[in-house]
Amino acid sequence: MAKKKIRVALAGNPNSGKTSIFNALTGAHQKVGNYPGVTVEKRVGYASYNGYELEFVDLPGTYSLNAYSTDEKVARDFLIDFKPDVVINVIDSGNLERNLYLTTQLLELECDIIIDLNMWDEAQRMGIHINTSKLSRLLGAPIVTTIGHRGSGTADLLRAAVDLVENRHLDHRHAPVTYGSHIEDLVVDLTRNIEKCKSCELCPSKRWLAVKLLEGDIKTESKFIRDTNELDKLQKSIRKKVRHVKRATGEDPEVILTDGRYGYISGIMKEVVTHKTGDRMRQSRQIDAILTHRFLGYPIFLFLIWLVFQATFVIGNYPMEWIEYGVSILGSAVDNMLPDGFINDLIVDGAIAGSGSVLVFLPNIMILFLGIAALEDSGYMARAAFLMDRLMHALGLHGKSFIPMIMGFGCNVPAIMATRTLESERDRIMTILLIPLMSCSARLAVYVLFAGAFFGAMAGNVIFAIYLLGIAAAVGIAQILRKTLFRQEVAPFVMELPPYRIPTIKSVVIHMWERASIYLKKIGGIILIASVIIWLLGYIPKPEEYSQDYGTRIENLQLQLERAAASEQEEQQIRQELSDLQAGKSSEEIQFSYIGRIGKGVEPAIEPLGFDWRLGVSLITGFVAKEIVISTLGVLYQIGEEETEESTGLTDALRDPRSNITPLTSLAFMVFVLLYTPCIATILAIKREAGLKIMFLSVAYQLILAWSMAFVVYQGGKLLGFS
Amino acid sequence: MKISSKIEDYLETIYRLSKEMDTVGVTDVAKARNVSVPTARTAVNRLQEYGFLHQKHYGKIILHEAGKKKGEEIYRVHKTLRRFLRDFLLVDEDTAEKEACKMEHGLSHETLERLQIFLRTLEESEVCEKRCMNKYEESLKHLNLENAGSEGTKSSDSSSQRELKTMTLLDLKPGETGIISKVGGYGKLRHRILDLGLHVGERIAMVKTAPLKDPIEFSLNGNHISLRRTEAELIQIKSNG
Repeated sequence: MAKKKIRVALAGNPNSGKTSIFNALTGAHQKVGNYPGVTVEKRVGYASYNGYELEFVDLPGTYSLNAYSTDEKVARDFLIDFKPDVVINVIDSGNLERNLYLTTQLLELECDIIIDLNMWDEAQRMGIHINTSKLSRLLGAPIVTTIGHRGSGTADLLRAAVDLVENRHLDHRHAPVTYGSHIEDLVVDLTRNIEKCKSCELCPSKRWLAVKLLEGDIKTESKFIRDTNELDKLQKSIRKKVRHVKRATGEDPEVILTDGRYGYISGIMKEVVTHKTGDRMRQSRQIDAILTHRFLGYPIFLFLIWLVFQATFVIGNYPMEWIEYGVSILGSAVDNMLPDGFINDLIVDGAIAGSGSVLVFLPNIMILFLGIAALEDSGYMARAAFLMDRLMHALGLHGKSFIPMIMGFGCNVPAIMATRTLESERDRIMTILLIPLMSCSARLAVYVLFAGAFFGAMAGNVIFAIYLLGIAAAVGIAQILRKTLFRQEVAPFVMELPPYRIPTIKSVVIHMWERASIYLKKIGGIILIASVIIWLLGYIPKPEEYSQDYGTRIENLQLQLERAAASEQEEQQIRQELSDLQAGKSSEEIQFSYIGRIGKGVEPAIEPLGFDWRLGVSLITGFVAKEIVISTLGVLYQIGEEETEESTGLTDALRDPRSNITPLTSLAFMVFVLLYTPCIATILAIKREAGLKIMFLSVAYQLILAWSMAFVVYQGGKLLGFS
Repeated sequence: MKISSKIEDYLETIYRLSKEMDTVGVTDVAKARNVSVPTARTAVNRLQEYGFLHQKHYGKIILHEAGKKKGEEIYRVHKTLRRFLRDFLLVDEDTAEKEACKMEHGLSHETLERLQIFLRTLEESEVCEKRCMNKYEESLKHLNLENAGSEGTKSSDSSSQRELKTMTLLDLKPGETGIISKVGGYGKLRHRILDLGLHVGERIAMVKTAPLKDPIEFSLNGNHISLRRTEAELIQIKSNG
């Protein structure tokens, strides 16, 4: 017999330990899944119990079920659209009163709930005694006590869920909250009107909908009352009454409704809780005395950020090197196995090199999210936002934008993925649009090459100025964005500073793994395909005729080398000649390829910036990754591969008058590299996190910005008499 | 046909009374308009001349169709103006009633129509209404404060206005507590504030400000919550020593 399925949703406040309960319930059997129609991903996990297969969905942590924030909307829509059989309401036992606020709304929505009093041990330690059987009776819901991070009580939860499904018919619950006399009549009245309404049959609870109408929750109204005429009528009928209530009490209905809920809760609290001592924030306040101290707060914050940054990009560098090494070994192994030709090149230079470019980001992403999860779970992230909000708010951003933006200096891809911590869509998208202006470490290599070649001792200052320009551009673009596309207010900072807790290794690792797998599955594949396509564009078509017969000459030289009769000096010379010939050949090939043609095609567009087609081609290949800018330049300026490694050959070639590059051109080029789209991986991370439209917006504005700034630098410099 | 505003008022009164009671007499009209019976009778006679009504025996007044129409029209204008004054300008009920009476005669048909549409538009977009009204209320407070400041010597009136300057969360210093008396703002912000437990009657303590003075950390009911200064300003409190 097939197992019977039960769908269980986990709802609860942020910081109620919901995720640790989810992890304890499902163990390794979880995945990040998108439910249809919802953009925010939800975690789904499975467990079986007593012949039932239970599917758990971890809803975003919310304080309430209004449709005002994305998280709340997601949670609410899931509860309504997918009608889970059971809702486990995870509650921080030490903070019962505030947590029960969500419970009242779940009950109003007529969900079948189980109350999970989590962090039971903490409440015990604080001397809070909760009479669970009385609470269960008052709420009309079964109660289970758990200790999430130790995983205790999860079996009880499973049993309670199955029990609730099997005995559903035994107890039918009613929305227990009754509001004050002023508004209760209105609610009852309106409920009756809604029941008559034909177009709102889909709504699970008419009373709940009545309350939402009174709260003026426009999104809910239009979701459930499809017929606009009926909606109009309902709205008209309440508008007058709402005015009356407002005049009688001097308050908006939403305030009276909230008061009603809290009144109901405080009644329950009196009945079931005996407080002995207990200030759950005492310890946290002591920690905060240092961490958000007037003078110590910032140095400690900067140190922690520095630590995460260093761990991510310095320690992360080692596995990156191993990956690069591994990829090159694999590449040459395959190269030797397969005969020369298109297939060989496709696999080695296209597919394997492409996978390499996907994998190199993985260590960064894993370490960064290890750090971010630790900061988040410990409660420090909220403090970081608390410290930084004043500055970021001045830029039209939220305090929480700071950490992702700083991480952008290391690598834009994990930085963009880290914007998840921002609750408000507006703040998140604005941050995502600005992150690419933070100069990532891959771009540094280009600056080092050009500044080193043209500015000598001044190179350090020039590179520093480029970084500053990136920050200044971000500040400027932020101002433009908030006056045009993002005119809404910055999200309110009304934010909880949760008690500090020691993060559990399990939850941090799960979080890290989750990000890594999203990256590999959802972004990696496309990066791979895109890099292969760009590689292919640089590979075909092959010229039919070369300026000289490279093939024979290279073969001859190789034969000479194999004979190895010559002296060491001669051998050196032959090798030099050989690599020059190979570079010459690839240079002609790339000129003839589609990329080369595009490069020549865009030459008129980049001429005002002082760039010739060779710089143009390198910028186009730079869409794949900024490291490729350098290797492309190596090919185009006909430097053999061995020499690009040491880079002196390329430096000389760039300095050579024949290259047409002046210090001014190189400055304009660096500015362009700083400001235009960082790489395919970034573009696709943006698409993943913010959608196709924002992705195009990002690419477009960056190209325009890069072009105009480079234009200003080049033409302005020329006017001022520089060259 | 031009009729004086005074006579119009009488017509309006008679129309209103005719809706409330079965029979309207001259004495009722006199009482409602707070004038003597002979004065009322003169006015009713004038209206009869215009053909808006006729009188039966014992002074019972019967409105004609034309009278009903005209009366209704005037009354509707009156209601619109009263609504505008009371619900939008937030003038108190009595003043609104009185001044609506004065205004209803001076405005052209077109202006009145526009006013009606304007009010309806504002009411129908609830978000807009709330926003505008909140801003308006804010400015009113400032206006009252200014008046109170400039006419500081005016005794009873200004002192009651001065009470309008209530304390907000911003006025708390570290360690001080207050009891929330009103939660301002609208929409998302207000919901967020309410959802986090900042509601009327709750005791709240200021913990500290961030190093750059903004945002501010508060504690209530065992939770710590941070608010920007602009947000803290929306929450009024009663100090409790």
